[in-house]
Amino acid sequence: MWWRRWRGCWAMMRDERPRRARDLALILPFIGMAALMPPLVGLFVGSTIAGVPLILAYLFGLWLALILAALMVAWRLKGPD
Amino acid sequence: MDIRQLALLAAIGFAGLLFLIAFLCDREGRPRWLTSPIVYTLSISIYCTSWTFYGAVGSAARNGLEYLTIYLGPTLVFVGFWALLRKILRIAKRDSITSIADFISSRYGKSDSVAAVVTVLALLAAAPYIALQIKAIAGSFQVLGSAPEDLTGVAAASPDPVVAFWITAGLALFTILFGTRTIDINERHFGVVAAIAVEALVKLVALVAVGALAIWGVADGPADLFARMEASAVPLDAPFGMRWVGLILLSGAAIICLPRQFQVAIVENEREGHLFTAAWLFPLYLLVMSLFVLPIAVMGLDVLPSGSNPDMFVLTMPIAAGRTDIALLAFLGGFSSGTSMVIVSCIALSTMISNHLVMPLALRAPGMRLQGGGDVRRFLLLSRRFSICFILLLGFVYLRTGATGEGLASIGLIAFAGATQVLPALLGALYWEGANRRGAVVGLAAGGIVWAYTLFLPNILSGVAWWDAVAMAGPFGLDWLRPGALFGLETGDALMHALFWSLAFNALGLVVGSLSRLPTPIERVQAALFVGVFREGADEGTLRGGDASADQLFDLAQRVMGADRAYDIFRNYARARGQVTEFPLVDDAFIGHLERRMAASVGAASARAMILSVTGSETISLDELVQIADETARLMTYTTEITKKSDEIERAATQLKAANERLRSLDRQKDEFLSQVSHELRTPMTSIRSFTEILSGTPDLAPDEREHFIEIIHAESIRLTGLLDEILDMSVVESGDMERALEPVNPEIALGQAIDACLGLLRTGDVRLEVARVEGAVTVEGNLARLSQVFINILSNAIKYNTSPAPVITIESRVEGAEYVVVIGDNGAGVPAGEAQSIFEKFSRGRSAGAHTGAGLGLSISHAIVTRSGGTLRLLPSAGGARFEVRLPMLASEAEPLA
Repeated sequence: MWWRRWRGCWAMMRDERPRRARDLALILPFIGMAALMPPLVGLFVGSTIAGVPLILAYLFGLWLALILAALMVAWRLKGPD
Repeated sequence: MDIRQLALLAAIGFAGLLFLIAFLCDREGRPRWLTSPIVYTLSISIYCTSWTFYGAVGSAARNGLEYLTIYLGPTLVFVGFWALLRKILRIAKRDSITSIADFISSRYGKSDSVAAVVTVLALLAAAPYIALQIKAIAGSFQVLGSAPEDLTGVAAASPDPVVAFWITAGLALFTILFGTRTIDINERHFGVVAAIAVEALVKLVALVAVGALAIWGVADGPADLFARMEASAVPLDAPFGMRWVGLILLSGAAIICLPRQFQVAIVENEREGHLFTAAWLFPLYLLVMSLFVLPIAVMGLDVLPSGSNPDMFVLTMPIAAGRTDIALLAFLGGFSSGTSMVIVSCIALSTMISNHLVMPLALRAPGMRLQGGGDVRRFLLLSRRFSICFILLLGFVYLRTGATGEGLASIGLIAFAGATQVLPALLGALYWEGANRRGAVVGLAAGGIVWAYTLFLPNILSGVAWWDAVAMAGPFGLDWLRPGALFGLETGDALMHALFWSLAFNALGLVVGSLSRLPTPIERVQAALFVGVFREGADEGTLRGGDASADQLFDLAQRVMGADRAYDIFRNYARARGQVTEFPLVDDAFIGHLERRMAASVGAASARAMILSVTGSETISLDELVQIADETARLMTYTTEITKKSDEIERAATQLKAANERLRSLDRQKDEFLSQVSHELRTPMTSIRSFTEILSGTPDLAPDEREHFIEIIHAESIRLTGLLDEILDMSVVESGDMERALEPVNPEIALGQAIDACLGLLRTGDVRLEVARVEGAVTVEGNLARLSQVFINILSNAIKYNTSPAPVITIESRVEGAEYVVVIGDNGAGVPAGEAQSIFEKFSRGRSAGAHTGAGLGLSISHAIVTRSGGTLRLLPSAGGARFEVRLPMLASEAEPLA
């Protein structure tokens, strides 16, 4: 049944959580840097979304996303401390 | 009461409160909340100095979103804490690192020179940074004191020297009281950490309050704010180019390389787990701070008179809005951010100066022999206090001479660029085992000189005639050496220009310097310990014994740490190892332990020098290292050879044993066969002899009786001949000398002949025959008579040895691929498992062979014949009865149509 397979996938994902968290921890600053680099960041200059300048929404949204990702990584990797 | 007097009172009262907090926290039994990750995170936010509190708004008003870079860089570093910060932290904790200079010198062979270069660089870079704080605090006083109708805050851009001086003096006193009351065993200051955590909260609350006032008090809520933002002069579409990227990288580097950041994030760290919280909480703190900067900038530009100093908007805007309470809070926030930065910076730098500049000089000075000298501890404290005064004086001088008329942010960036010169050496220390002391010194010196020449000096000396001439035409008229356009690189951005060239020379120096010579043994050891800190079993490299007594070592330790603490260390070490004496046994491990504890007070290089002065032993020399390596290599080769040889011997022995076993088995078979053959030959011979004797001894024998006896003799002779034929056959086939050559034959014919030949036997045994044969012609290479002999052998065996009450024989022939296969099976008892192996052996007979005729050569002969024809004969595994399979390769031309 399709949901069994899906459940199996889920169990595997769960078992490999520490490894995936480590990978994310290593790659996170590079993702952030790439998202802040000129070609990408320049796309958001000039327009507004619901009255808010899009560039502001983008930068602060990205910032918040990075913080949440770091929170998740820290949560997953926290050893018995 | 005048607001200025109120502010002064508030500042003094606040300082008193901080002091109380610090005092309470330094007393024994620190409160639990002090060790929480939140306090740790708040202490890291001394990153947000006056520069952030006042300067970020100014930066936003002038350059739009550029101010965000200063907070995005550290965000990326903390979000990626796993790879970088965690590694630094792990090493620093293991080695009791006291400062960034200590960290780097420790990695590059515990070198004095590296530590000294880093310290000087950090000191130079700190000057503009501290000047910035003095300027901001003095400026904020001035703004509060100016007339209510004058809210431009322009005067704050060049503060009154007298006010600035008294603020500097106050800061010096404050810092000395805070930071140098004791020399902590791990160079940690719990009270200070608690105080700056409180200050971090104050500045956050203050900035948020001013921001909230801007959004809901001055503007009419967020919608109005964004509308005014559109119309304001704040450039939201600031170019996201080189400078944007450069500033993010620069601030990311600064959060690790600034001595005070290293102090709070690494040295003062309580547990590695706290970093896991700071990884997201510190970026969150920065985000909240940054979020409220833009509204203040927008509304400041909107409501304050044009030409106002945007660096003071945080203070002037609440006053303009008539909120003195919020203005006072903002003043305290600014005061907090300035003082906390100065305190921690001075603590970190004074530690570096006393450990890496003063101490090494004192150790070398002829008059200051340790054995005869005074208490090192008191000496250290004194040198730290002087260092603090010196650092603040340097900041004050910079404020007076430097071109500090610019915005706060641009002064801060000069300091960032200076501190960042440590980055290549730091990254090399963590990730490149080949980096060595020469590379570190060359890189740091080159980067520092280029930074000073292109950024620091132009800032201090602008306006001085000779320097302006150099800046215009280059030194000695060398145009390509102009500090503003080195090698003709015109960027129009002095910071990016300086950053590019200084880091380029720095990194190049590190690489070339490191590759120009081999690392020394201690550099190798330290490199492995730093780069491989997460490897299993990475432990401190230790000095080797020498001939120091525990008394000598204690004498040394108590000079550095005080008698009580030294005694504790000695006794605890001895106790932990179950030694009953008061002082532990002096061995390599203890000396290493003591060195680490002392390094926590005076830094790795000085600690090593002191220990060496007592033990008189050097770490492992290169010669010794080479010798040890040689010995190890020799030993390993020798061991490998022995292992190889013993393997060979074992293999040979096994083969010999197998061969011996086989020989013995063959010998046994031969004996059995000989006795069998002699028995077989003897029976017909005996019978023939006895009947001939009867015939010749009894002439009056009845004719029919005589006839009968002669028949018996004849039959026995035939049996004898058959037996001899079989033995002859065997030897012929075995010797490989078949009397007839191989030729293309149809094996089906041979099979048919065999079945015909056995019909008589089949009938007498009342055996049922089931035949399934291949259709059409098959051709194999062989000999018809021999093949027929093979089939007859197998068939007759199947009939003879079949013990079933209703015997059935199955014959099946088929073509499989390019092979002709015949399977002959029966439903008898089958071949016992033990005999399946030897059934094709020469002279072998089944267990019930005694009941039947034949010498037991049939299967062996058949096997030899089939093998000679290129085929195989084998016993198939089966549940009941024996199944023999003959496989013969078919001739290609004939195989096609049959396949």
